[in-house]
Amino acid sequence: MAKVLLVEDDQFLQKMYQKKFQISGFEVEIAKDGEEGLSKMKALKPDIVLMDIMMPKLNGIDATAAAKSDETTRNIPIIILTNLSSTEDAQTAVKKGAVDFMVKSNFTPAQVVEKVKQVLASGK
Amino acid sequence: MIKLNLRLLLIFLEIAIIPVALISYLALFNTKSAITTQVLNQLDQLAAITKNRVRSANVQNLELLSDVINSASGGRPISEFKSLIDPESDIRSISITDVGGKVTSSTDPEKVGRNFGSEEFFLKARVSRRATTFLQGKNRELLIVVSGPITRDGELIGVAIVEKNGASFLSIFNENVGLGTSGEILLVARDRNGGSVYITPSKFDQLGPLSRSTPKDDFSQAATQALLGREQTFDSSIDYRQEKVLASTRYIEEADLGVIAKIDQKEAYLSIAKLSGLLTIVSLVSVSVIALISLSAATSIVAPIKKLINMTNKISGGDFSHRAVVESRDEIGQLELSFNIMAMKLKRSYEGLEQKVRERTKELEVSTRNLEIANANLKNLDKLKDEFVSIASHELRTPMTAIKGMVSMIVDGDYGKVEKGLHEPLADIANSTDRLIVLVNELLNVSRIEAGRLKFELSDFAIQPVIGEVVTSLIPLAKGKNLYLDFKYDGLTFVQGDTNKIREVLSNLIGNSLKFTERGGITISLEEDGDLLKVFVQDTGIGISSEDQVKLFGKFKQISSYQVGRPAGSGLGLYISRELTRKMGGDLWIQKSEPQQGSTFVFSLPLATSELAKRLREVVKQQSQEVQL
Repeated sequence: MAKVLLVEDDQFLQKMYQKKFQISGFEVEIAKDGEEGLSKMKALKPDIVLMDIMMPKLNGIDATAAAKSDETTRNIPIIILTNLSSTEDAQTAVKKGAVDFMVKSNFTPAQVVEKVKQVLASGK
Repeated sequence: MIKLNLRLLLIFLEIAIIPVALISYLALFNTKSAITTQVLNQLDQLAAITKNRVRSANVQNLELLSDVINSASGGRPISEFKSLIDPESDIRSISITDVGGKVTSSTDPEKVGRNFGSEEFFLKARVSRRATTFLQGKNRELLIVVSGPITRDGELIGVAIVEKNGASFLSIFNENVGLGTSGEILLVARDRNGGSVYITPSKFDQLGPLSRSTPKDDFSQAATQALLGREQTFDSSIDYRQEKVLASTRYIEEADLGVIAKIDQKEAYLSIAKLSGLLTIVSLVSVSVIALISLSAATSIVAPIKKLINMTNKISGGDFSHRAVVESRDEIGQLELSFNIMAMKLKRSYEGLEQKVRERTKELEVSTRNLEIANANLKNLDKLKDEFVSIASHELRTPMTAIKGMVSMIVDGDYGKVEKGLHEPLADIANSTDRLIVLVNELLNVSRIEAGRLKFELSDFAIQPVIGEVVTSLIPLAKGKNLYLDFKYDGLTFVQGDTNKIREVLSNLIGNSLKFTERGGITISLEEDGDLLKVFVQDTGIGISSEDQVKLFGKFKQISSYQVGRPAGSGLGLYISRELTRKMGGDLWIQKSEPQQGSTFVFSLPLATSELAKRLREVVKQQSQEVQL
């Protein structure tokens, strides 16, 4: 059973994605900001991370950069899942090492699950 | 630029020189024609007198011959004429020949027994039976031979011959009175070839007489003209030296002789040359005098003007206290006066002006400072607005994501089985949420486009795969409405643009077509046109009336027919799409659309290899540099 770490500060979205991933057969861990996300990545060793950008304490882009510069978390794939829609944000995130970039409002939870499955299947 | 005094000088000189030149020319011309007439008259008189003298000399000779003939035909001896021959007389000999030319008797005993049968003077007398005068040269001396037939009862019995020395005859031509140094009177006879030969000695050619000939066709020579029988004057003829002469000719018919009176043009016109020299000196002197007078006149006009120029220079340099000294009451004096008044007024208004400038400058500084502050505030506001729109749209999206996601999960049955009656309202919620999301996205886009903050990542890429992707993603939607969605192509066409933006435009156009088409479907096709590639999106939908087409590209413009029971968008899609294509160097427009006949929308993009694409790349590069600054 694959383990997904959802780094998300909005509690409604936490609940929603958690539910969808659980139904789809994933083990789901939640972090409510970038800092917690980083520490949970180290502690729980998730198979994949869904990272929001606008969060308190540490934003998703900096968190991604930090994760990619740490030996223990470097190989965990990170998908940016945000509601910031500018291409600049997407490019910055991909430059820092994210495998993909999704604008939340454009996708249903089912589509997000599909994307995660795709990334895991491609072995990244 | 010619200075004023030089210009005045030139004008004065022109006024003075033209009449001087004209008068000089007329004087010279009149004098020359008067002199010509006078000289030609004189020559003509001399020629006429000489002709008469030659004729009377000839008549004397012929009378003597006639006496000899009468005497001989009367059988009297020749000795009765012997008294005529003495050293004082010109007559050399008088002889009589028989019919064969043999001299039967003569005053010169040496001649008796000689035969003149082949001599011209004998033959002429025998054949023509007329008395004739011959001029012959012997040892460079002129010999006059007069011969005539002696007849008795109409029968030729011999020929009478009188020989005379030419010396006293030639003295006729020595009287060159009034002919100056070059003028002379000449006698010409016809030579054997029909040309003319000079009989008289001439001043310039002592060896010429009796030997120098002129061809008969040289009509420029007065000699030729004389022997042609012309009795007239020539104001421009040439003589045996090829010198230009004034000449008059006469012809003596009975002796076939020509008389020429001539003088060199050089000599005849010597007085004119002198006159022309004099006129030149007078002209030069008068021109110099006029020049001096003009110069002083020009200077007197220009000097006060120069003073005024100096004064205006000082005034324009800021010295308003300077004044002109008014010396005269003429126009220049008035000008100086006006200048002084003007300078006075200038001084006053300038002093007032300086004060005003100081005040205005101060006001300007204050308002500039205020403007700078206002500008800074505005810039700040603009930035705040941009950030606000960006954050607001993010914050709006978050709850909408929750609504959209959860509704989709409810529909998927993730929260348990859904009652049948709820399916429709749930679909409506999903639809409305999607519309809200689109609206928020487009509002954000419009805000970015208008703030000029939308960034374009230009690259060269093949358009067909990109269209293919968009079409593929929309096929489920088309299938759901039972519509076809066709895009056929062969080969690849490379264009320049931002792939994401182009996907957005394509999705918008195809999405619109899908929304407003109930039967048939949508066909996408390509066409190259100069620097551009055109992408056509053609549908078989409801079409748009021409009135509505005008409104279509406005912001928040939805046309009336859209609003009745139709799925409606934000009304920003076409506006955004067109702005995006324009920013990439293309455009977007309606190719054709009529109500119930379907619509064709087109957008264009620059071909990757075109000049247009190259220029755009440079513009975008510059803009991104400006943004970084």
